[in-house]
Amino acid sequence: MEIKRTMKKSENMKKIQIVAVILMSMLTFSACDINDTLDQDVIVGNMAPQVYWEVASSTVTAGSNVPFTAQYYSTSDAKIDHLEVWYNMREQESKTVNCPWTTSMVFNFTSTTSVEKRISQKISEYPHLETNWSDALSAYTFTATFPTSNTLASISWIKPTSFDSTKMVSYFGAGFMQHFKDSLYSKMQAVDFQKMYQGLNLVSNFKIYLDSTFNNNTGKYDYHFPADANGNMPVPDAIRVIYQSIPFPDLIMNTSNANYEVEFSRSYSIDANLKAVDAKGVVGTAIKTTISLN
Amino acid sequence: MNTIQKIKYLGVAFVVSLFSFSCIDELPLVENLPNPDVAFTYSVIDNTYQIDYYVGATVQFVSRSAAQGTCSWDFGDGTTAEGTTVTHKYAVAGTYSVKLTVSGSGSLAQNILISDIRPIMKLNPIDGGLCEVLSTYVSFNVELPNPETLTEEYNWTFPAGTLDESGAAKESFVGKDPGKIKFSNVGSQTVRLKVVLGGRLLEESTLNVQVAYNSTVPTLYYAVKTGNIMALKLVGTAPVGMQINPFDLGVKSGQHPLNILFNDTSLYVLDCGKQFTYVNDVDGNQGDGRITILSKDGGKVETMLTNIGAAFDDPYYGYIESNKLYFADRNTGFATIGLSERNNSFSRVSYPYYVQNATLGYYGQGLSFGAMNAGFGKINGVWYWCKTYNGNGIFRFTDADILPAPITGNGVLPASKVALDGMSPKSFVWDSKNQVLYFTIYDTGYEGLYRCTLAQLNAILSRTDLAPYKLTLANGKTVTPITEAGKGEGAAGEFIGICQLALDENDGSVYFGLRSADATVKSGLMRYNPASGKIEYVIQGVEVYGVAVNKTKSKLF
Repeated sequence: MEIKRTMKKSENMKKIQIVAVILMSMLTFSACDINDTLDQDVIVGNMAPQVYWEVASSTVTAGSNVPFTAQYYSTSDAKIDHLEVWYNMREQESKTVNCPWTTSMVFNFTSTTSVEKRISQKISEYPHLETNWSDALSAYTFTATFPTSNTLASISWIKPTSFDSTKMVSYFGAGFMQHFKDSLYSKMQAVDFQKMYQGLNLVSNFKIYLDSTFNNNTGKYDYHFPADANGNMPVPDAIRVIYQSIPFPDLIMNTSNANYEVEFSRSYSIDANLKAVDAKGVVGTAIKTTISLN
Repeated sequence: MNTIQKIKYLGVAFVVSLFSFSCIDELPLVENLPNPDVAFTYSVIDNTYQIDYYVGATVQFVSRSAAQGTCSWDFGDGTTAEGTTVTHKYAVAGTYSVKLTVSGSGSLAQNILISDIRPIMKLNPIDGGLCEVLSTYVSFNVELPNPETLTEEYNWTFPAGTLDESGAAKESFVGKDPGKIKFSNVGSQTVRLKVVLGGRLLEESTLNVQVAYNSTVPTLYYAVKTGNIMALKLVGTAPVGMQINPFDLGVKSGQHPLNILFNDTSLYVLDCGKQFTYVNDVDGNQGDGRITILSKDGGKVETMLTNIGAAFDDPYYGYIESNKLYFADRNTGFATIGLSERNNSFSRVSYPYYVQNATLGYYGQGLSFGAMNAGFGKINGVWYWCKTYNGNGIFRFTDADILPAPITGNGVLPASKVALDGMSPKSFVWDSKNQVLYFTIYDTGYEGLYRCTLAQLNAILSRTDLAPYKLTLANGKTVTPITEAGKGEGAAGEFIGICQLALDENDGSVYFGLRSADATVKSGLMRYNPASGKIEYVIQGVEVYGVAVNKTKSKLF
């Protein structure tokens, strides 16, 4: 009896094991079916047309047409329908203002920016022609141009010999000149005031505003404003008042070169793409080319 | 529960409620968050001027969002709209941030630049294609976008020396067509046009007319700091009343074009990028230098080589021989590239060193690790390689002296020896016709331009030996390139106050850009005139990097 019971138990175990294996197999297969990582994580697209282009020049005059040569072919059974040139537009600005009077430090304002000002968009379209085929290249090829806008001509105002406050405000903003003047004042030392005031003929004898201390390291006298009771060396009132009367252009005037130490340039560039579109609407894109406009 | 306990519980409850409210208040609305499923495009849908984005143009905005919801538009000028596709006209030129919000999903903001209307100036075709000084008449064509047919007022300004058909001076003109004019001066002659449209002054338009000289002469090219590549006809003594002005080629000089080289019909610009001084480029990715090729009129610009690897691998100095351009890095060696190569990316594998410090017998015996490069070239089959730091002088060698692999020292010294040993020569040019060498020195107290024969060069053993060869201006002053940190560009060994010399083989003149340390000698484009034996100004005030001469004579380029 005991033996029979044991055998029956064993048979039951086997059945359970077989059922478990079947269940596990079903689970595994169904899991495979559901968790198809390729299907879930990868978008399998269509074969896109192959397209290559060369732009004749990486710098062109704004408003001119940009010549290019294209090569393309289809890698699927769909024929090429047409080609398109797309580009965005970036604006680059560079600004520098320098005060040439300072000797204790270099005081200048510098700013360089590059910002996308227009998104990429279709500029021109070219029909696909069977006559474009080249046996030598085993590809379709053609030469054409795409347009650029006259409005994107570069602007530059570099160390002008005459100061134009309208341009200064337009290029640097309304509050810039006062901000520059205030910042400069906070950094200037006695020697800087001395050089500026003498250069601009604002005082006849600057030394009356100065005190001096012998510098054992250099073996010379260091000139500075007189110290107050706390040991600070504030800018004398007379010097401060004169500074307030100095017009901004004088702060940046380079008397040696007879010009003003201000530089502004604004230019534009485009990131251009050539796209080949096949009959199914599948798009192949050539490598991006950056073109500067002047 | 006593009073203190009550206060404690109330305090805790208050703090908890404070946190809760704070948390709720700080959550932004989902519509204000960027969402990759929100997208839009825009374009001008008028029949004309579609790429110009003029004020008043009809711009169509189309939502391309995958996200579902109501589309709300903020055009950035205080106006809004709703819908998947909307149109808008901007009244004022400027940059606007256009924001599309898809309800319940998120938003996207993109810039749009609206341009002011400006006149489009064009030069009418010229017979023969060349505008020659004093003889060629030119006329202009002006197009003004004016969809609302507003009143137009045209004000022209012409450069000094402009003449009308009767030969009278013409400096300005009011009206759309100024008629035919000719120019008395050579170079880029800038014609300016201001237009008042409907009572509103538009931004000024300019047109550079490239006015050729009336006989064939060589051309000097120079790279202006933060400016463009310029060209200048080397006329010598200009006819009375005629100014020889530079041509603006309309191509940016780049960041630091220390050397430019002319060969055949092209100008090669070696720009070592924004960072040309020392940088601890541990990841080797701060390079941004390039070699650019310009056609001689600037009309075509091609990229030969770009470097986005290590900053020290940027192209600093160059030399052309036998269809090869040799280009030096900052302080190790120089490599070669074929003149016909285009659009290549630099790697040391693709452009291995032709020579480096450690493949010369000088290494460890005068030339140290990282010896800083300066100008280089060949004279009579011998390389002359200027070094300005960690081994100073002109290190001379032949191709046969270049070792097959780097050494650590104890090599055989090249027979051609070091010239200006221990000094800091920055640049040189060899005048083979007159058998003289011009070079610049940066050593404090000895800065300047020098001229001597090769035999005299070999006899210069100390700085005091330089004195007889130093060149001066007519007033006796010398040229002193900036070698004071903080005043110019660079530090010890890197200064670029005179970074290149260029020879006009026709008359033996040597041209260079000077960044002057001497307040009494202005910076500018200068030349040594062998006829007068003096240094002269060519253009004062301009800050110049590299210079090059196209010796082939032409009227224009």
